[in-house]
Amino acid sequence: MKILPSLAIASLLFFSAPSFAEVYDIDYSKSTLTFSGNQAGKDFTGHFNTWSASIDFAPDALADSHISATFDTASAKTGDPMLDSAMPKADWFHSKSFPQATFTSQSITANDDGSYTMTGLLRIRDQERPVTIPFTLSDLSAAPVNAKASFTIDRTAYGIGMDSDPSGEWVDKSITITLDLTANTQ
Amino acid sequence: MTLSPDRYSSITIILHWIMGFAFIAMLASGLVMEYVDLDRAVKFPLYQLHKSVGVLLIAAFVLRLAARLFAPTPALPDTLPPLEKTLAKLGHFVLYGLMIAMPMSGWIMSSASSSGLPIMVFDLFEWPLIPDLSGNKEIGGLAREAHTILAFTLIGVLVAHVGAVIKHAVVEKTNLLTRMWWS
Repeated sequence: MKILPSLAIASLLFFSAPSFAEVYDIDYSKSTLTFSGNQAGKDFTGHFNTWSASIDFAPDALADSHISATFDTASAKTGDPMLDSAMPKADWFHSKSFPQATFTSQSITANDDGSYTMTGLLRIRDQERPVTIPFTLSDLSAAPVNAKASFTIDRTAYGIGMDSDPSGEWVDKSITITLDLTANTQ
Repeated sequence: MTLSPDRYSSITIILHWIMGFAFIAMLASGLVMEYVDLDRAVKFPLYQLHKSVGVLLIAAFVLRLAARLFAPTPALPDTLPPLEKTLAKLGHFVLYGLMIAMPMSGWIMSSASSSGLPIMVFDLFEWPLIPDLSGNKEIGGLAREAHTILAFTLIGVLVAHVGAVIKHAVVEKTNLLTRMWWS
């Protein structure tokens, strides 16, 4: 009877060969965090100029893979002075009270087509909501690695513009967030 | 005793006609924005245009008031009965009040909006919002109500203003337009 536990341990060691998520360093000069939407019938695209993310990832250790990000809401710029002036104000990002927004991954799964699907919590202002983010990766064996992700949020779920435009009369409720990351393993 | 001039000062004449047409355009655009179901792609720039002209009207009013106070003013014709003279003076006083109350109430409305949108005058420069009003629904609501009531009052007074000129021209054969033009 003593042999069973030993076998169990041996099999654990053998079959789940220890694989750990790799830590990636983002090349911020080649990475963008973009948001886009429509205001008064005009499409706008903006960037968060100040943000950071930490990435621990390996395709064979998805359970140990984690991605988190922090972005400064006051660093959001579209180039349109009207929008750029309004965005940090109390009804929108309210950057004075909520200077940062965060994302924390909860799970990452591989899809049949080689892409991945990540779930996590996105916190903007004082609202945290679950999001599902599909992403694709370039060949992991060739550095640097490029990751692309795009997903859509409903700004009103985060309390953005709820006082001046809760119905999307002027600014569409749906905002698309796009990530284009370039990173190297440490 | 100085002789009363036949007409208003040139600066007053210029401002009178520019501001007159500007106010008619502002009333028209205001009514359209409020009561016509426009596409937002048209409505938004119309709002910005309305605000831009509104800012210029505040500046124009300051010049206009200074000209009215410091430049000689032609006396009303003696053919006018005393009651009509009083009415004319009262009407002009009310017009001056409306000329400043209209843009001021609009400025307060914009400042009290929670949208945080700045007033960009013809995309050239930013006109400041009145501080600490953003998101103030009480003041914003009052300013909005005032802007509406004043607009309809202005329409009424403008009709009376033009109507009086026509009435004097037709009934008394007195051409008052010579007071407000170079002849």
